[in-house]
Amino acid sequence: MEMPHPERVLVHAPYGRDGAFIVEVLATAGIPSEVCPTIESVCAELALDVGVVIVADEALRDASIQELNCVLKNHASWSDVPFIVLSGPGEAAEVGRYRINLLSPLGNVILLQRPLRREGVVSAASTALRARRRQYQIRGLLEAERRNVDALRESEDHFRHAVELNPQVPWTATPGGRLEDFSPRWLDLTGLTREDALHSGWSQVIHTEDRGFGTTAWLHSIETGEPYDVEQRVRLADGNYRWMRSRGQPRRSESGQIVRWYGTTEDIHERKVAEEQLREANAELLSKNRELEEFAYVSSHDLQEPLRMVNIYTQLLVRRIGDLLDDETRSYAGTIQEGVHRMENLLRDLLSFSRLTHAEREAPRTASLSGALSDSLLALQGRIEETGAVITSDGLPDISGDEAQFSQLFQNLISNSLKYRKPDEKPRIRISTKLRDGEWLIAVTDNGIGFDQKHAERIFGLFRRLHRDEYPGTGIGLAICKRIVERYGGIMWAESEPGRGSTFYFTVSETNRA
Amino acid sequence: MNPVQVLLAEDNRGDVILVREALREYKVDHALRLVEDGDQAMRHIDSIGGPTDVPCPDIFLLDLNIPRGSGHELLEKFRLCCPDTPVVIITSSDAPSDIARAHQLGASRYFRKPSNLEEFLQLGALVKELVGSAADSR
Repeated sequence: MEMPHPERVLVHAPYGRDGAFIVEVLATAGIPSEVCPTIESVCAELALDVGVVIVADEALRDASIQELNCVLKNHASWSDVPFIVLSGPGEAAEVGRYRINLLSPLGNVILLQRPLRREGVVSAASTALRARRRQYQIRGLLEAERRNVDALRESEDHFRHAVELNPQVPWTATPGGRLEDFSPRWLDLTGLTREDALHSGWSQVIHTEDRGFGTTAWLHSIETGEPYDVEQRVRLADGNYRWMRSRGQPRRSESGQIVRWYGTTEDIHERKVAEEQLREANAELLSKNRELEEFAYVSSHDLQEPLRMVNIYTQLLVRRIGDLLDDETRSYAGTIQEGVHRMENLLRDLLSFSRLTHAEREAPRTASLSGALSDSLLALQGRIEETGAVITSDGLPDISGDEAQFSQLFQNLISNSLKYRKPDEKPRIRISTKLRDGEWLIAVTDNGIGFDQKHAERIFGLFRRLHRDEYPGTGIGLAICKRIVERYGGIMWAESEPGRGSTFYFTVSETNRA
Repeated sequence: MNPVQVLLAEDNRGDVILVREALREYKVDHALRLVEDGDQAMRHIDSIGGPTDVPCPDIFLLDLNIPRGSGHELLEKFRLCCPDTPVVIITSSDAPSDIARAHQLGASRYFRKPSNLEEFLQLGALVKELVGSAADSR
């Protein structure tokens, strides 16, 4: 029968009707019990643990008491199995005492005198069961206690290892801010004695420049209970300073009072130095970049001047002495001027490109993309008629930005599509738009010659041209487009396949509605 | 008729020659006084109406980007002593702020240096027109 051990009632009364009577009485009271026919079977059950053993006096000989005792010795210290011993009717006090001595190795013995009465049996059994249950409860408490102790020991052990091996320096401080304890590593690092370290606190080895804000921050935390987090230079035993980060958090009692501050100090020197180098490198890069842009702006502007001279004076020469020249020599002048024109175009595009970064940021204005598109179509009217291009567009939104710049963007994209059209097909260009995550996605799709997707990034570079020989151009148009888009916080990319047309995408944020 | 007195503030020799070409092209009989930088220009303007009795020119052609000085300052100064003389700004700058400022300071015309000879020669026509109308109004 499977039941919790403390509930098991064993009955060993092999002679007469007592056994059957007890089982019947207990069953009536709702207490199940098991009959053990032999003392061996009692021992076997005892080894498995039981609630109560009810045993007839006459079944207990010295030998069987010894046997029982052997099993009981193996029980845990908290366990004290109650034995209800059925004694003979009207036993002399003398005999009774003798019996008690004999039974004493069993420990927890209740004598129940025969003749047995129902209420006596039930009461004795339930009292004994109740006591046994208590023992089990105590066992539970003891085990919980032991688990706690084990956990605590483990945690302490873990903590000690963590403290001693950790590159960080854990520390604690009183609610008033006095350093209380710290990892011995701190002494190794700083060369301070424990006494020194405790008395002067941290400040003694903090770089004088960092001491002020470190102290201020610590006092602030003490006062407000806010976490403490500072980076400061600490003087090591060898006299060198290293950047360290100290962090502290208060532990509070249930009532919210700060009990203690817990913190760690760790070496962040490498990170700090790397950060500093990165910052410097970044600043240098930015300034180089600015210089470069400045250079591009100034040079493209200044280069126009000499070019103008070359152009005008070539014309002047032809005008003066053109009549004296043969056709071939006169064509040289044409070649000079062609060169000048290409150079002028390059400079003009370069100038407008660098102007995009150079121009001062203006207050955000509302630009109509439809207006920008119409302007660009007007500017390209000649080319559009020439090529028979069909250009269709969704209704385009208003956005924040400079309309003229977006007109230039459309102009560059559309003229690109017209330029790279298929020779045997009318160019079809579609401008579509959709709202996506609070920004507009605009797509300009054509049915032109397309390009290999692997060049999709490259084509936006300055002076990058995929079709250098077949098509004229300066290689700045798409770079300008990208810069315009990025100027307004958008992104631009292209998707294409050779022979299958191209789509240029860009994003612009929605107009900030008032 | 006396030659037209032209004051030209221009540091680029190439442009100086082109200005002469343009004047000749439109048959403007002229005497050119050239100042090649801001200092020279300022000295000349200072001498106008001074003890040496330098008169106002009939027209002032001013390159706004003149070295050693500010074209706008020159213009302002010139306007003080010669309020009626037509001034043509010749410059390679087409920055709207430069143009607006020049007009504000009393420039009559803004001539952006073209990179085409024919267009440059139009400067002669412009001078002729301005000097003519100035002479008429005198």
